[in-house]
Amino acid sequence: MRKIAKFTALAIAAVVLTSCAASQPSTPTATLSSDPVTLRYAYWGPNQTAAMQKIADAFHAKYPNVTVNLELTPFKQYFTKLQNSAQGEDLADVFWINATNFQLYAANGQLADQGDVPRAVGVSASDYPPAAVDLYRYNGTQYAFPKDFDTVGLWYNRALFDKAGVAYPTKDWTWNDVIAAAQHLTTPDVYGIGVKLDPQAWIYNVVPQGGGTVISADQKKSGYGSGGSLKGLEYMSDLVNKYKVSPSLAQTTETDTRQMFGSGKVAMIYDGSYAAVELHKNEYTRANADVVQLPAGPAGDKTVIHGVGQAISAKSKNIEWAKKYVQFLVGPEGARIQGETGTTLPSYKAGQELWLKAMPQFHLQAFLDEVVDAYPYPTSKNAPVWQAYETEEMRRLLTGAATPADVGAELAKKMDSALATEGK
Amino acid sequence: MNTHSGLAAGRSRSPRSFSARKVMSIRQGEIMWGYILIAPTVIGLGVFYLWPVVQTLYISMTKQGPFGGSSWVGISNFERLATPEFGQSLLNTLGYTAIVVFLGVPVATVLAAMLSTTKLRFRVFYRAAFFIPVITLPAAIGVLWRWIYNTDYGILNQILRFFGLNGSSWISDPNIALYSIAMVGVWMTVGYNIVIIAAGIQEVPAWYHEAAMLDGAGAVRRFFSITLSAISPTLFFVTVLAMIKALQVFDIVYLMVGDTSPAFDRVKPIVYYFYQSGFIENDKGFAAAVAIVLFILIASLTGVQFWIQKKWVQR
Repeated sequence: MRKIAKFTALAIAAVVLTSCAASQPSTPTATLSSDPVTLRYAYWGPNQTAAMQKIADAFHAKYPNVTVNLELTPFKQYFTKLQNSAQGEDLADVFWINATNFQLYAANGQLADQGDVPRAVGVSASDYPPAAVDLYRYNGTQYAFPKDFDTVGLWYNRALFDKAGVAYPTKDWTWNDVIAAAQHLTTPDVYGIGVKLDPQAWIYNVVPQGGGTVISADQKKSGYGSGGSLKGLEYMSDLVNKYKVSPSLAQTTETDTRQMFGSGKVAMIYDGSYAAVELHKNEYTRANADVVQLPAGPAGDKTVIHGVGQAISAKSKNIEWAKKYVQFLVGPEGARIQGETGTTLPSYKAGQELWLKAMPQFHLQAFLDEVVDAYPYPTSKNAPVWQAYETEEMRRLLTGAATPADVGAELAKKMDSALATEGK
Repeated sequence: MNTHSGLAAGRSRSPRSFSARKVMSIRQGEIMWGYILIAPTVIGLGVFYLWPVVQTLYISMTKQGPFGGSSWVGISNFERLATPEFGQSLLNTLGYTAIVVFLGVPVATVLAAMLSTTKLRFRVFYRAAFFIPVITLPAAIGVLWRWIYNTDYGILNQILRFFGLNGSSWISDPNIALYSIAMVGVWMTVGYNIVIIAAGIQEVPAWYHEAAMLDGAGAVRRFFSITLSAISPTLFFVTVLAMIKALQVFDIVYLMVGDTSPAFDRVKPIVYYFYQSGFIENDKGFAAAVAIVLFILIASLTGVQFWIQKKWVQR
């Protein structure tokens, strides 16, 4: 009896789901014009140009009246330019956005409502990592949608581990294992691990792993003053200043840790799934590097998740086509192109397998497994302001100029005052 | 005489009144043409320089919304400048400027004098070599020097190590980064200064030197007693320009020292502070206040120079 009830519930669910899916294609096509349309597409990643162009070409092949023009701006200038073009009402129709800047644009009416994107694509919402999708929802409205996502893993150099006779890291590692291994790996020529002043690769992982938060759930209060957060900061600081198993801040600022890792000067780094392409291109790391899930802190496994949002200008003259393009990009076709080329980890599930296969030398599955421990990328309405404070205080932490407790208290104070005046 | 003048007067009576009018109209025409000819410059100056100055002053008294819209806040943006952070960036800028001017201009003067000696071989080559940094993109200069100064892999430390010296973290050590950057500032401006100063040196009449030589003055004596005083107007011009440019330093710092560098606080110049407030933290009203303060600083330091030049510039 119970089984039958279960079965009927499933059947009903299936019918409801399929009818939803079936009813959707008729709605958007109604407003799409067949006149020639040109869409401007702004983005910041030069190593994604090839894939982005392929997607634009595939879209043009499917809808010959629509041409997509790519506009590349280096990341350092991207948001300056974006804001100026928004002020001049000259935003690209479709553009990349990140979680840090998203709310500023969403709150000020710059972005078009994209509705239920998975439904419009004709796939299930569960085909996308929810934490990455939620980053681009503001007051319950989906103003952008991630085309990819990234989590962070522990990359290690097998050759250096073999040489030092240290066992490879596993997904069960904790901070203490990292410290112990790094101490064995450190020689006059090699550092055990490369600690970098980088929010995504380091700070936003070790803080929740310690049991703290960067920002409260309502985005009104800093979490840096809490004991859990301080544990995370202490771990970072200790690797550099106490155990001296990491290059100094001066060194990692002048030569990126990924570069040091790529030339065998550093045995382990925390780096994102987005590092895979570069480490795969480098012959040395392709042969010697591998990756596992980040080691757990006192509060267990946690990994920050982020994805590049695809936003549509509210003032675009072709909003319907722009929506269609975003759906194409984040849907099966866009995911396939991004995955096959190994460009980035697509947000759409079916594309993820292709990304794994594109670089079989690495155990990239680690990045997918981490989604269950995802910590959403901390942000707020005007996040760049307190992120500047974050950088400032972390400099004091990593040079050893201040203790974790001082840095946490000072940063919490500055961040709270910034959050209090946000949007006023 | 009389007849002559009467004749002349009679002959020229009607033409004279005619020509007076004509002169007047020619005069007016000239004035009008004068205005027409300077119009493009004046309009350009007004639209692209003076009007933005007025606007910036206005913006500095407002709070700007991220996508337009503003509210009047009076002088509160200026009050907010009273922070140690702004004070430090002011100090950084002045330190950089002092080095670039007080080291850069004398070095350029000596080099220009040396390049002006006719006996020197490959003169044109040296001039070109010194001028190359001037025509090189600041971005390329920043990247190049960043590499030269790199603690672990930079060529400077490798050379020092070859001589058994330890080297340093040139652009990351808070105590020396500003000097390292100022050296690049000197290097990239010295070529321009040399060209201007060398032109000044060439204007010095050769017989000054000949007379001095007859009196037994050597090259060094002649440089200090003749060349230096004769080119003082040129030196003044170069000093003023070098100072204004140095006070506006941004690009090489932006390219050589990132915001994660331990030395960042000790090298961040005012223009970087302006950039950070206006374009990263979206506080454009405050950024405008920073720009106004820099404007006043440049104007007053230039004013001081014009006042001091009366004491040392020969005319």
